[in-house]
Amino acid sequence: MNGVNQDMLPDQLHQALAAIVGPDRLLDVDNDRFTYSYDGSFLPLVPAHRPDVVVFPRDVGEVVRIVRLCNDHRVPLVPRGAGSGRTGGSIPVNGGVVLSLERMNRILEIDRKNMMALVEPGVRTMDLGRAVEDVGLFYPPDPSSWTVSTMGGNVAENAGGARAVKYGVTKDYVLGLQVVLANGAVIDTGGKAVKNVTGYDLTHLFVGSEGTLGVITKILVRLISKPKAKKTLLLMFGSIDDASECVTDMLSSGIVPASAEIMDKTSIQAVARFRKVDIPVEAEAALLIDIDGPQILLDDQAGAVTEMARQHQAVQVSVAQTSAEADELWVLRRTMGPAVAAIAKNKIGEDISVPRAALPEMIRRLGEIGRKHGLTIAVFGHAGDGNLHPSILADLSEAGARERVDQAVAEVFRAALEVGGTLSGEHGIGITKKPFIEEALGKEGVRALRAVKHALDPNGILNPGKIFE
Amino acid sequence: MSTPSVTAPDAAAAPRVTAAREALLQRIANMAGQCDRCGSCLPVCPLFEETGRETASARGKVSLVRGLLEGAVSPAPDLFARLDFCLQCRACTNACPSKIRTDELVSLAKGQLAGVTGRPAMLRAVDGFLARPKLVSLAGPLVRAYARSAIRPLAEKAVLKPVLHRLADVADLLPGRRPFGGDNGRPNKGKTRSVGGSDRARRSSAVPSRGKIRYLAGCFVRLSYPEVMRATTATLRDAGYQVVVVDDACCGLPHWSHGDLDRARNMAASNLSRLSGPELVVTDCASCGSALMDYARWLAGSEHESAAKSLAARVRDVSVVLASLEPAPAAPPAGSGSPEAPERTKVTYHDPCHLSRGQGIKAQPRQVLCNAGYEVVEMKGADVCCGGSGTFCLEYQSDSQALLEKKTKNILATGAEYVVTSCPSCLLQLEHGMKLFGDGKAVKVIHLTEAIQHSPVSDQS
Repeated sequence: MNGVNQDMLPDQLHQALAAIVGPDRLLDVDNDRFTYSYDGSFLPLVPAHRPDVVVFPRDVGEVVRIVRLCNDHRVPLVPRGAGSGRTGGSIPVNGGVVLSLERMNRILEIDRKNMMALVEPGVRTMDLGRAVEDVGLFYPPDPSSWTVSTMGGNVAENAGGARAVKYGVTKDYVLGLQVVLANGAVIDTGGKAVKNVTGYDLTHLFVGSEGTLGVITKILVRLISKPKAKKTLLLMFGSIDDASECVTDMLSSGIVPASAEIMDKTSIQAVARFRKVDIPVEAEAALLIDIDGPQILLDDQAGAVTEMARQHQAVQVSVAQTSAEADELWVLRRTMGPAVAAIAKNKIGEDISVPRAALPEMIRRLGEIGRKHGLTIAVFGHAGDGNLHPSILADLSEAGARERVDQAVAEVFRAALEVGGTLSGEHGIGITKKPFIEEALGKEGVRALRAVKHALDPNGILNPGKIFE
Repeated sequence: MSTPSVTAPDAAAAPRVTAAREALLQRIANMAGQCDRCGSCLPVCPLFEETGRETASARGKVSLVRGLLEGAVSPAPDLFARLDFCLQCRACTNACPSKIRTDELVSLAKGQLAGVTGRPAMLRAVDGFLARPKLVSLAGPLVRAYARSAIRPLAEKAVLKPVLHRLADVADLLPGRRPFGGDNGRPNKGKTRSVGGSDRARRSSAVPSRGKIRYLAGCFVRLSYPEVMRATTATLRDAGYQVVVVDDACCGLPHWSHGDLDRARNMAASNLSRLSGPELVVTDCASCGSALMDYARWLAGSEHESAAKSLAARVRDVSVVLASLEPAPAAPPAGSGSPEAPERTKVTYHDPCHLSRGQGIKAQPRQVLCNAGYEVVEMKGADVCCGGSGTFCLEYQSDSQALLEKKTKNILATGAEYVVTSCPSCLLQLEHGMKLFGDGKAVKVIHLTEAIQHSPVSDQS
């Protein structure tokens, strides 16, 4: 299995790990291990991929000893944050050790002069966001899962979020990392110097590496000034084409919203089961727009957005009057993924990313694929940067459903590649998109990934079975 | 979904039971199937925050249940314990995009497992006791007499602690002396009583007559806090209601949450007939109130469902009744002009889980306290569970006390004279917190209706 040949019995492994972290920060009972066999992806719970042991190190010293132990005995090691990933990245498909970094959760430094923060991987993204906002600074990446997801997980998956259209994604903020390599060596990449071309850019090699190249134990991120003010608008359209074309035209005319989220009727109705949402009967799609900056410029920007919406036959434009109203609109968007999942027996949620200009074309193709296979595909996502989360809704227990869904998924990926896009915008490849990576990167492209992997983890112990076979 | 692997040994012998089990399994599967494993429930779960273990969280429990139904998890005895380790505080439901009622799922799953692995002896004992309201009423005075007696500390040190650890822990949780004097009378006998207005209400001709109202005095109040029962009755009478006290019923929530589903349903059904009629049913126990409101879910699909729905529409927490009334004419406007106006008594309010999330009530108790002339100071995390949660504080003492320590510190930080709440389980737990973590500057713990009865305004009149 992926070159891993564990030469240690579970009992020995357990004893050796207990000697490192003590009995209280180790789980080995069957039912406890079961709850570390899944993540936030749509992969089925059964058959369960239980790890042999779950450990909770508290510092880099413990991580080093655990990694060495696993490397010496060829035990698979799977780093894990909150287990909120969407592609199976933290599922221990080959058993072994789940290395939960949740208890390494200190914000080590907020450096106001240099506008940077140094954190451990278990810090929740929202907690970092709140802590830096308290001192007037801003950490923009905001994946929908930010209340629960950890910084380590965000870096390992190169998480995006709604604000990416204006502020970029996680990699645009990571300046340096402390990483424990597969052989137990500890390296520091990057640093506080903003310009830095000393050697290969290893920092950005580890960003998005999905736990396959090393264990991230410290993260240095850049911060920016907190925007002075913010306004939230909800625009309703009579068709999803109008909505997607509105976003594309808005951006090409120079209006840069902080976020521009698109959602179709199915997605809005899914959320409306649990929250009061005012939907005009003729609405088929909506855009949730945030604009931010100095207060005096906001009204002008809001006017320009509204005008653009009118030109695209918006059926309703509403502006949040209070921050509570704005928050409520955002809760609607943030809870959309799980709410859509709850309306069907199975939701196969995808994460394609296409060039901004190709967004209307991509959305039209999604509609065609759904109709062709008789499947509902709910569409929502970060329209401003061309990152969509088409969700195929089905009941996989019905005869033939699995085949239709598999075909539809393959066609969705193919369409994304054809319009110049890619398989994943912010969720990573993990297990769920592994079959398609060669189509996206080509044989030689995948060979290059493998070469990097082999150089850094010759025994293949780090998160085996992910990204590529 | 694959065929459920959990069936009771006698399933084949009783087709009707089998059908009920199948329906239960289907309901559990449907609820668990709503979970997307997004993890929104993790950061809000007090027990996940405390232990860092996935099994403590809602996602962990829902997944275990799903694993059980799909054959990947075996019904080992520790599974019941994993599911049982839950405050049923509903913080997860609040954060859940699909609003999954994990508290209910846990109860149903425990009910299913009980048929396979049995239930812990302590839960069986508690449930058996509470199912006999007469016994509860009889036990109350004995328990309280012991709890507040002078020999108690001696008895516990000398006898209980060395011999019976567990019993000493239980004794440790008994209510102590109460701020406004304690138990100076037995609760009145009789199934239901009709009482007229109190003296104060009669004195004041300004109090309109508001007709009949029923007050359900739950087990916990009858057992531990008869003074709360009196305060609630008096408060409702003062407001002009003719109060009919119902003191021979248990709402069934302990049984429901311990997985004793059939008994809970029977109790609910008998309460439906006991509480039928047009009058409002008032509770001063957040847990009783939320249980009555949930009867339609307990009895879903049965002949009682519609009666349960109609009861739910008539149930009111006492704070809701009081907040809906005009402030009493005697009450001076808050912070009224006169320069020598005395400083108002500072109180802080602890939201019981079964009131804030269970019934969606947060504003009314605070409003009632303001109307009564108190200054309400907010504590940090007022709606975070105190760790009491019925029998949880006995079953999982150290985890319960870890939550309690945080809660107590937040209360002390307000500088309030009283901490007010609306649930007897919370009252007991908070009192215990003051004993353990009060650092000698204990804040007095009282029920909302006690606060009303002893309000600065009524004392002036």
